[in-house]
Amino acid sequence: MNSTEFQSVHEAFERFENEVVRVPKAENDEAKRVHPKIRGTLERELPEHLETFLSGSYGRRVQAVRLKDIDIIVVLDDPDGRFAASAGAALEAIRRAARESELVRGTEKRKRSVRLTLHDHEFTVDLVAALEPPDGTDGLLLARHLPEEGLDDWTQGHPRGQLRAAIDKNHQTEGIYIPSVRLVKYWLGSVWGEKRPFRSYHAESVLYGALTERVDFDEAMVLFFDAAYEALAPGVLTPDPGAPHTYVDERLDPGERAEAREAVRRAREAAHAAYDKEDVGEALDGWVEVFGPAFPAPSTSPERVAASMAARTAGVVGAGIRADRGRPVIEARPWRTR
Amino acid sequence: MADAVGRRSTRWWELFPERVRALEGVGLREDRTIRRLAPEEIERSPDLRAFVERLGMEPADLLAYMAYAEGRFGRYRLVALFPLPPGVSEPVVLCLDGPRGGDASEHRLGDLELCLYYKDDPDERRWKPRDGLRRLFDLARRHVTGESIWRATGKWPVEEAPHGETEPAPPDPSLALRPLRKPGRNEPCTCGSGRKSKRCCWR
Repeated sequence: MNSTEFQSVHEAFERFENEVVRVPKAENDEAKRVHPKIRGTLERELPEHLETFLSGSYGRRVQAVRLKDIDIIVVLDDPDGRFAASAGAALEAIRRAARESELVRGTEKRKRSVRLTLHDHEFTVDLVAALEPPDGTDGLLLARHLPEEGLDDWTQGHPRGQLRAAIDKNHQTEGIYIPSVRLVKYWLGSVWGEKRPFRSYHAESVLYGALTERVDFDEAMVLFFDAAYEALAPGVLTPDPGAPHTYVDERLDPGERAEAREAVRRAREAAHAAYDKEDVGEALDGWVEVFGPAFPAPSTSPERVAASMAARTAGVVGAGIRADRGRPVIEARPWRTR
Repeated sequence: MADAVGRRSTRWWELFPERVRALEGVGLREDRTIRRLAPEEIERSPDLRAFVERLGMEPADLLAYMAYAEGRFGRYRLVALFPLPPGVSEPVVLCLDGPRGGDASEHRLGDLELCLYYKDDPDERRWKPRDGLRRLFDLARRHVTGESIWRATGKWPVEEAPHGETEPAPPDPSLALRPLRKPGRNEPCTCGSGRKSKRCCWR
């Protein structure tokens, strides 16, 4: 039997989610300091400013490991139809206003947004241009500025609905949903890094459909992998939780779908094997197969990994050192500098 | 290697694409967390920007790759920089996350740069260009795992070269790793998963 510091698998998941998966508090505090200042600048400097609100994964609180970007929807007033005629003109107006902020180092017009790079922070701020639909229909019109394709118009999006859906689902599952999304996104990063055939919002939408009540985290992950395996089958489409009658994977390439499904199949097998273990320590070691050596399990304890490294029996699996197996590593002697 | 305005170009990787291919080798296929960094990603990071400025280079001139290291410490980003071709000068490997400098370990050069090996040690104990990117990042993963163990236990878990004047370690051919190559379909996958390569990265 494996000894472990945890009484339950759920408790280990809580620690993992808190200490490894969640964006560190200091980084979140920085973000909380930055986005109100940027929004304040827009309010002052952009005469067409109607409203701004947080959106995207930062808005839904589902970013994992580190903060990459903050999406801010900028809803514009457009009484004379100047912006409706040109999304590029709306983005240019936002860009000029944002440049006035002392935090901003550079600006770049993109398809839907103006991306701000900051002097002192690695994360970026994306200011997404939006208009209220003139006919009062659901959602917002979001900029689509692709000059090289001759496109300079607006398409319907549902950032408010997506935010609402995440909040409601988290409430329905008694706080399990949002940390579970972060766990899933951590897993995506372990398999593919940044360039993922299984997109983050697709995975989030699959989890949205899979979770209907409060369950422990290990069960939530098993439910996710089961649902993802079905959702990635050829011809199956996943609804967007926040946008009626739209699907998040309509343009997913079949090759990417197959690659994503194969990775999900492997993870699903490992997740079921871990979930079926009676012994907590063995179960935690099983979850290391899914989430890698950052998962707090007996096999990843510093003492055990250290002994294995000293005995030259440690190897690398995925992106981390494993005590029991893995590919060999150069047995270098680093030079102590002090 | 001078451009139209006489500025000395440092884009060695444009002139020697075969060296880049040899460096990337099979590693990029087997380790999908490794990727080449775009100049705007270097530009966006205050740490990388400062490093590139110190080298007197532009972000667009630098060949740089990023990968993850994972362990109980969490997920750190590692960046390997090649200002000059591997073999001409040593690559620089930075760890962008976690504690810095002496708080990270005694094996740092400055805040972020990892001191991965002692330069006078025999070949089998040092990274060489033919080892490719994946072994460089694996070495860095071993290093940051060693650092985290040092922080947790106060002991460096593997051999280290002592401070100051150091004798090279004696040669030990048993430590030499086999050259990287594409594995046979029924051979264990070299990613370390334990599965046959045809059912894993080389599927």
